Amino acid sequence: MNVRKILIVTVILVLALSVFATGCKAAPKLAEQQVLRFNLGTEPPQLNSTISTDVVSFNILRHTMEGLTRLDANQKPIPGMAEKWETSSDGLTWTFHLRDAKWSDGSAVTAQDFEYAWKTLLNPETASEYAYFAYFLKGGMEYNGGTGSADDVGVKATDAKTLVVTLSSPIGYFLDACSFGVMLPVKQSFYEQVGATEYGSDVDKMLFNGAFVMTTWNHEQNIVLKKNEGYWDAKSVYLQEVDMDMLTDTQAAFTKFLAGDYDLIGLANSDYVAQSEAQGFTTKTFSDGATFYLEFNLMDPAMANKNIRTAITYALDRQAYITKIVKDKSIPALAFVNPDIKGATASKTYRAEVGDLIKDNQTTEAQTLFQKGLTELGVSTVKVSIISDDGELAVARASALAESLTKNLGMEITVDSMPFKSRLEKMKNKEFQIVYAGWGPDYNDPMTFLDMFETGNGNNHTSYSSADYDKLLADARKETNTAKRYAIYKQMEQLLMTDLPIAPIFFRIRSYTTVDGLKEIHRGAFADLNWRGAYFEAS
Amino acid sequence: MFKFIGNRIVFALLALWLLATVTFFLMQAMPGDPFLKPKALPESVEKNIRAKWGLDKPVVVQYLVYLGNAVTGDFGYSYYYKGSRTVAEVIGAGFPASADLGIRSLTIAVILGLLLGIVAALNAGKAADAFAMFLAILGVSVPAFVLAYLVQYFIAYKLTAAVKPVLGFRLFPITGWKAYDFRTTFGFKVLPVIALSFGSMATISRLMRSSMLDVISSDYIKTAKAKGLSRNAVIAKHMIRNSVLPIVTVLGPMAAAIMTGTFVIESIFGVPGMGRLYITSVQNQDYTVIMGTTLFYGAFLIFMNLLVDIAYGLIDPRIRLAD
Repeated sequence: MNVRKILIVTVILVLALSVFATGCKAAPKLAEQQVLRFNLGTEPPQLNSTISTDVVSFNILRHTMEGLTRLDANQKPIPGMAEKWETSSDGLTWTFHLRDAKWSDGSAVTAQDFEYAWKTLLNPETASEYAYFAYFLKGGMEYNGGTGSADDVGVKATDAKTLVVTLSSPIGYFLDACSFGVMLPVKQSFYEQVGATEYGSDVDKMLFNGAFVMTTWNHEQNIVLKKNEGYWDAKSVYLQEVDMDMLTDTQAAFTKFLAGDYDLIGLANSDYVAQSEAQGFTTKTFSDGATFYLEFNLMDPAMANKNIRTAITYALDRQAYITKIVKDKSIPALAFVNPDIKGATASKTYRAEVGDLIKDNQTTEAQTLFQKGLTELGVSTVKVSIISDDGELAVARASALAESLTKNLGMEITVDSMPFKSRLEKMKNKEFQIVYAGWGPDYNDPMTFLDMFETGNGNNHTSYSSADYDKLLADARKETNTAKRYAIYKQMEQLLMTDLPIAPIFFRIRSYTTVDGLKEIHRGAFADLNWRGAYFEAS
Repeated sequence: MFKFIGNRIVFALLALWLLATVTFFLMQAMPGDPFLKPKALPESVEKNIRAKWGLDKPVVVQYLVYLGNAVTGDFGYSYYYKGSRTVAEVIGAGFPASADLGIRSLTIAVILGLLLGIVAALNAGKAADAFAMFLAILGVSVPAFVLAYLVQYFIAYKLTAAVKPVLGFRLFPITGWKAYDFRTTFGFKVLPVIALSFGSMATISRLMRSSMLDVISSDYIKTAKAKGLSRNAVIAKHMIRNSVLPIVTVLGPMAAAIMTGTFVIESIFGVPGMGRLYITSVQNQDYTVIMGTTLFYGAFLIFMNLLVDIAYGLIDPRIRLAD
């Protein structure tokens, strides 16, 4: 290729790219005022990323700090503090190259900050609840469990800009995991100067490397964030300020939204949706990734009968239940893994790839199965109780299910409601027949739903135990090929939906609304709420 | 007097120790614990957490450790705040706001309650009595949260929005404690105080009315009138002073309850008080905070009752404290 040809190709490429660039993303027309105001709902208990566990803390941390990766508007991991990375062919070794980025004290963000943070998370003395999240690091579980040492943990800063990570097994969601709250960097000298107990407890006891910095934290009242002008990608951040209240009362918060004090509000139930629509606001929805389902205790004689469980699962009319009782845009669940979970290919979700796996609203078939189950048990009827939380909404939801099962199958079914912690205790001790439960994903991979049915898993309250299932799970954990791993997931879920230790009911969809002109607010299962690129449009 | 107070302090400490003991073991008997979460923790993680918080020791040892620390004024760290705040800090941050709101509400409740009660008693059976008692029945029967939502919606939202164009600023903020704007400074305590004081005012006015009615028909009032005292002197020196004792009696526990925070009013108006702690600490099984708030409330109640006993002696010379 001669020089002329190269020039021509270059010019064409540049022209094409510039057209493409302007065509796909025009600079937004910004209103003069760029201050976002909303209600957090509660005080973040503290903001030390290595011990955080709650959504409110992670929400603030995601916007004031940045990990190796961050989740974009579509919840896909994209480069954050890491500019680029390479991975070994076995998927076990990852080398991250950090970009030039600064902490809010002006010092550089280094690979050591990540090594220190991850080892602090795993340190048994930190006693972090989410330490297990980093058990995928080689030696992580051993260090946290007291049998290994920090030096053997698979994270090493080879120089200020290079972080080498070694995993104990290949995991499909590792880049997603790098964006998660507990994996954020911590600057060792600052952390030690402030002290482990105080770090993250006040505005002057934190350092920031994210799109925003915190300037005010009036405990139990409000938090103010300002745009971080020193952030490496400050040009794509439009909000100048974010004001967040910590109002626990939803009615009061809604009144504030109506009065124009907030720009965004969650609509907790159908009453709020109706009120906000009456005022002319458009209701928006998003999936929070949670699946709601009945868990059957297989240690209970009646619930151990597969025909009885299948009858219950098939008898429910999920759409009617959502319309009449749940009263929102939730989706009937005809399988367990939530539709938010990504698929083997980028274009489809896992749910779209696998499809539905159970039948719904099959009263006749359900009745036949139920009678068959009764015959097998040698009884004429079974008395069953569902345990649920004691909130008004929770009781109504459980009671409606019980009622429809009584009507369709003729089984005697009652609801036993109790405080949240009591329900958890009963589930843990397996003192129940059926429990109305929900599960939200920790990371974007079907494994976050499927691994809980492993024999002996702490979250497997059903006591479900299948050698085939355990074998598939072990295979999936070892499999580095994405397509093959997803094929195993499909087999696992099919097995689960045949054995039915659980009866899926619905995939939750939540509602919220915003003022007109507020753009690029993103909500979802993994990075809720995302206002990093939000802005107010000039009218 | 000093001997009396000394005795009371000894009994107070005994009562607090009993309270601490009963609360400690009841709390431990609740199903679950602070670290029981919807998602089960791996054993290794749970072991680390229990070791860090001393929950791996037998309950009796935990109890003795707690008592030992409490005697030295160390009430431990809150689990909910993941050890970033001590219980003393959590209560210390919430109490001033609750007490501020409480003192204002109590002052208004006492002044208005007494006035209403006196007016009602002096005009027994007339229109003023009926009106005062109507208010009182309303105050006793309408729950504080209903009143709170009503004043919040109609005064802070609707009325404020209506008068804003005229005034140029907002009369009352819907929620909040520290004013965001100096012009609203006066406004942000008004509505919570109305909501909080109404019920107590009603209780006080009903008590005062019946107490006054008892006094009015007694012989010494007739004597006072017969010896030619003016109507005002009879009311002020004889009637009110003699009818106020029952009010003083209820004022002790009432002040303790109102000044240590109310969950509903504080959460509706976004007041950073300590009212929420009574509820959330139990929900979260935040053991140290449950103990801290219970002991704090207990101590405060005992102290208020001591003040009431002293006040008795001052108001009514027949009650002698010294011997």
